[in-house]
Amino acid sequence: MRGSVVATVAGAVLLAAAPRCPAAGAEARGKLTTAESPTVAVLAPMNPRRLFVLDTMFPAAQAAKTYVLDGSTGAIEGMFNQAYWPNFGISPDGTELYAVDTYWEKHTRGRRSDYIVVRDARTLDVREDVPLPNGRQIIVSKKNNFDITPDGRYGLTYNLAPETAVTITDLRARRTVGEVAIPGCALIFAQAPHRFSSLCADGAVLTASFDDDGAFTTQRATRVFDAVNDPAFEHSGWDKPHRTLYLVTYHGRVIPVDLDGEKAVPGTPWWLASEQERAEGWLPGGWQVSHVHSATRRLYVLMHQGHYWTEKSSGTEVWEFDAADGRRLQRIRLPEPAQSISVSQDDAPLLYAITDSARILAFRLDTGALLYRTEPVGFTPQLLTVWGN
Amino acid sequence: MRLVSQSAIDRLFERMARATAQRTSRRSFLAQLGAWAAGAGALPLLPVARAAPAAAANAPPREELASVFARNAQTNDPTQCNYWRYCASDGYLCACCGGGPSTCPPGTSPSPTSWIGSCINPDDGKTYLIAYRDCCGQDSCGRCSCLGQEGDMPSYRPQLNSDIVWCLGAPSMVYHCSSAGLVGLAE
Amino acid sequence: MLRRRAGSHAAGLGVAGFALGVALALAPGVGAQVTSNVPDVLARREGLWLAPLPRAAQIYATTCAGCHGEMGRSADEIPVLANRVGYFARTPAGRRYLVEVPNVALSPRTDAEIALVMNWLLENYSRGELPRDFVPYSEEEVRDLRMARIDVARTRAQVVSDLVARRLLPSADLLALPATRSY
Repeated sequence: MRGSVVATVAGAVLLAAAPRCPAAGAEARGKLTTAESPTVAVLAPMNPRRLFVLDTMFPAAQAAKTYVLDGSTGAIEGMFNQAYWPNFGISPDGTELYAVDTYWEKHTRGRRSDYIVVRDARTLDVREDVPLPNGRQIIVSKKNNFDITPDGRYGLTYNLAPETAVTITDLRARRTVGEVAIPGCALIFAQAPHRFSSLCADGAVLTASFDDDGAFTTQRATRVFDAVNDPAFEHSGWDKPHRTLYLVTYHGRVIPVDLDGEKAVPGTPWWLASEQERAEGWLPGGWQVSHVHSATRRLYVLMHQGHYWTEKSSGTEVWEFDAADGRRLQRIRLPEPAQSISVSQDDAPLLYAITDSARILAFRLDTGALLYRTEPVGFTPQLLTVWGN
Repeated sequence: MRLVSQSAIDRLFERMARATAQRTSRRSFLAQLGAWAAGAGALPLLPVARAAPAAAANAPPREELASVFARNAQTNDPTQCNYWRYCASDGYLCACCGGGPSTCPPGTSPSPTSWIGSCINPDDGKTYLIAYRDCCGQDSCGRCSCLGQEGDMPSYRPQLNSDIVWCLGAPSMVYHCSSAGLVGLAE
Repeated sequence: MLRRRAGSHAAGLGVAGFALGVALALAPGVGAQVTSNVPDVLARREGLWLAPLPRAAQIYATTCAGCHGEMGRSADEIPVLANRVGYFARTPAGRRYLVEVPNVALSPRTDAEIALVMNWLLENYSRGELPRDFVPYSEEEVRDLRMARIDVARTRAQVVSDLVARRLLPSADLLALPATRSY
């Protein structure tokens, strides 16, 4: 993976044209030739170990950016600007990157514009700014305020203006085709080419099916979780390939939800921590609290010792579970607390974590051993994105 | 110059009541106060009781307070994260940015929208409703970043979510800092 | 900081805040020797204490007021309640709509709490628009109504046009929602 940044085109200019040193005081003939001319690196094709780190730049939040890292080594391969509390996504075929951005004409004032900015995944060049005419919700960046249907055709952005709705953008045609009203619900989990699900204020899971013209129908599965006493994290474990959402709750339960059909079907809940561990205060918490390795259906959760209302406290360990039966397989102790985690989706997966000191940690999941710890990446790196889930 | 005296407060409340009667601006804070107590259109009753109730003297021991935040909170310094009203304040404190716990810094505007949570005041052990309202119009203040978490719910319950940029309805959606205004005493 | 703003902002403080904050802002000459402008410190010194909010006001505060505003009016794109919401109670469909609207129907509040706050809101923020024979919502009525999942925009439009047709609403503009603005 180290060689994934491919230097291209003429790096060196031949020096052969300078046959001999001219005599002192004599005029040199010909034009200036430099030893090196500038070149631009191009990223290697998308691969499962590529890691995208969204730095929301909290102290100067209009200067958010996404760093591109080689997840195998932690080396920075590139960076591009995002705007204000943005979102980010990768096309399923790995050729395009999508940045959901909000700009004002005069930095903090003037006319506002919202776009899905389409970039080439290898050059990072902008291919198109696709307008979001109704805007988007501005909220501290959460992954599932933007999702892409598994066929790559539709980008779905969440809006609260103040009606809650999901804007459907045809990424192929580069235009927004409609809005799906999702009263009382939020977040987007796009499981099928014309379908997504959302979590609702009353503990329901809404599933919306839409067509190419933006017409839609919705169905609610009620009482999937307790939105008052034990709410589900926004960054619950999303296994998109298997259309299964593992709701992780504030108290530390996991509620598997089958999102395959037109209506969500909840499964049997299980606890992350044993009774003894819960008595010791072990709870899930952080920002990007959980992730799923889809091929093995393993769920990873950031855990810490605290009390109720420490749902955003950084994790000191990552726990690995077999999501099928809730069996815990591994506890990885973090050398420093972390807020966000993600897992590469290849056959030898790595666990990535963003620490409180803005560093990226990577662990081998077969051994649980720390592979590397980077220098700080940006100022307030907050979200991790990998290709494939 | 003198300290605010009891009689000065008396006169002020008189003036406030008169001012309320005269002013109809929807942005009038005085009218807002009246509305809370008596409903719009009725005579304003300020939600202020006169005599210090015995509750202050009988404040429960800190370790018995239901809120973990309140057990370690103080009521003197709003530039610190443990100021009692910040039990769910997530962001930069306006009090560190040229404003106060319920005052926006110069160059910014309070949003007409907010989310309303509740914190326990350790001085009397009572629960107060707090409006978490953002000051909007300049980029992040960048000072005194705090992460109060009590009562913060996911964004599918926006009425209780602190991650939303609460600048809906303000002149600008750009977040500057977080204020924590006192709404009133809960039961 | 309060002191410095006193002159120009006495009438315009929009932050829902603390009575003493206003007291300071209005106080002539308050300032130089005041060693603290922390509302709690001043309140302690003056022996001022807040009286409890009525139960319905508390429910309104924590469930509704964040968006709709303390006075029942806030951002342009959020429906105005003050001197408006009572119109809906003039027809059976409008009365149903007020509880079927998602932020009421899906609220974590109990049926009894919703009935309490709806009746309080209508009586205190829009009494003038209520029909003379207004019957307060009961817990049972709320329980039944909030089961509905409506198409909000369509239902609202139907209710409003019906109110106009029956001359129960002077103009549809009174209950119109402005197009989403960008800012």
